[in-house]
Amino acid sequence: MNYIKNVVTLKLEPDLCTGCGLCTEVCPRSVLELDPAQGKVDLINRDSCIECGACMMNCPIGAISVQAGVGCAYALLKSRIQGKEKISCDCDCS
Amino acid sequence: MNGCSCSENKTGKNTPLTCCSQKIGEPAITRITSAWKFSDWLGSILVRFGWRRLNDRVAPGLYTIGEPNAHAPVFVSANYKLSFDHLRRGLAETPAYILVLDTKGVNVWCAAGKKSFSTTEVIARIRSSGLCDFVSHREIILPQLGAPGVRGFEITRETGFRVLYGPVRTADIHLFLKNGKTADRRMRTVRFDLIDRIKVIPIEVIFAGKWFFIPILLAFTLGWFGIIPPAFIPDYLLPLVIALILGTVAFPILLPLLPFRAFSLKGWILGVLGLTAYGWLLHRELFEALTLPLLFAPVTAFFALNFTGASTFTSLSGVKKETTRAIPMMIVSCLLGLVAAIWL
Repeated sequence: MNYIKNVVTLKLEPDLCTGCGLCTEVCPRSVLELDPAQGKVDLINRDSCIECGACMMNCPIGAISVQAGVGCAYALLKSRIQGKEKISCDCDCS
Repeated sequence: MNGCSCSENKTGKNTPLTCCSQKIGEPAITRITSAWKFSDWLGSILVRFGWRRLNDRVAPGLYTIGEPNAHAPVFVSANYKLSFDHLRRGLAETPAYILVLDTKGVNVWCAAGKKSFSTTEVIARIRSSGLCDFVSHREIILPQLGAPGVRGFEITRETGFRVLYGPVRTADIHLFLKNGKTADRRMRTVRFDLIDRIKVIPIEVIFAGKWFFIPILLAFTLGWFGIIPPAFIPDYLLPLVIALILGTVAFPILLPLLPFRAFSLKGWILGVLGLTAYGWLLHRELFEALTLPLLFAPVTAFFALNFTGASTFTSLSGVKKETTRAIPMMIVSCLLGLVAAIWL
């Protein structure tokens, strides 16, 4: 299952990528893949990205950027109603 | 056991016992088993219905399962009891250590999003638990879904413990260990199968019930005693209940079968189909029957939109886009339905 196309903020700087592959290990949606020939990571499935931020957090050289957050409409609406700029997962989910 | 060898502290000086130096007295360690008791099974069901959902936690610290030696693997978990229970069950009787973080009783993935499953918490817990005194290796296995909250390389730099990411599902732990602590693509990919979607239905229903249960009960009672026209029940109340059931029960089940990608649009289509069918069953005139989808399909669409929070494949950017478009359309639809209901 895939969500809305062409919206995610995920960016990869190929020039910075060292091909360590840590991002591919943490991505839960198989968005990234290590290309052994190039020795770099490719975005093979960008629209599957859920912007969880795991790849960005675990990239040691900062080659990946994404506006990470929760894909939760309730959190978004609650934050807007409360006038909060930051959309945080504070819906008491567990 | 061996002495602590993770000697780099924050200042970079070669001070021994850094990772264990914050412990006070003997570190506490708790022995557990992998088998679930009846109370664990019952709790795992009740928590799906919201019972003690925010207070079902285990104490942070170090646990052992089986009889682990100094080479046994170390798994890290949240202190949400269901996360912890799934991990220990997934381990079966594999001798291992479980390092439980203080995630305020929140599950691994949500805690990573809230940053309570964090780099600093892992580092602090490694140090306070005295983990280095129990194991000879320097390797910890984090749940992959904790990765949005942690920088593995920072944990390694601060404590000397190399971070490995385990599989998404605890059922794959044995295969993960058998594969030399490597998760293949299948193990790394999060799914949202029918059973996963069914498990979150009770919480969706309870969420809707918080808003609608008392008003619906009150309206039914008033209609029953003739205080409001009895026709109000089949005309408005039952369609509302149908719209709610469609949005909270049918939508999660049918999610992959519904067309389009936006949840609200999928839900709106489901609502229109269900409510039109209801109108048709009541032998309504076509134009009159249209009031039902106008009024109540937005209710189904709203709860479908709310399901983005439970799903495992929605992004914040996508949710922003669809919410911005869907909410005004829902309001307009309801207003048109209201006008039509009054006019007809």
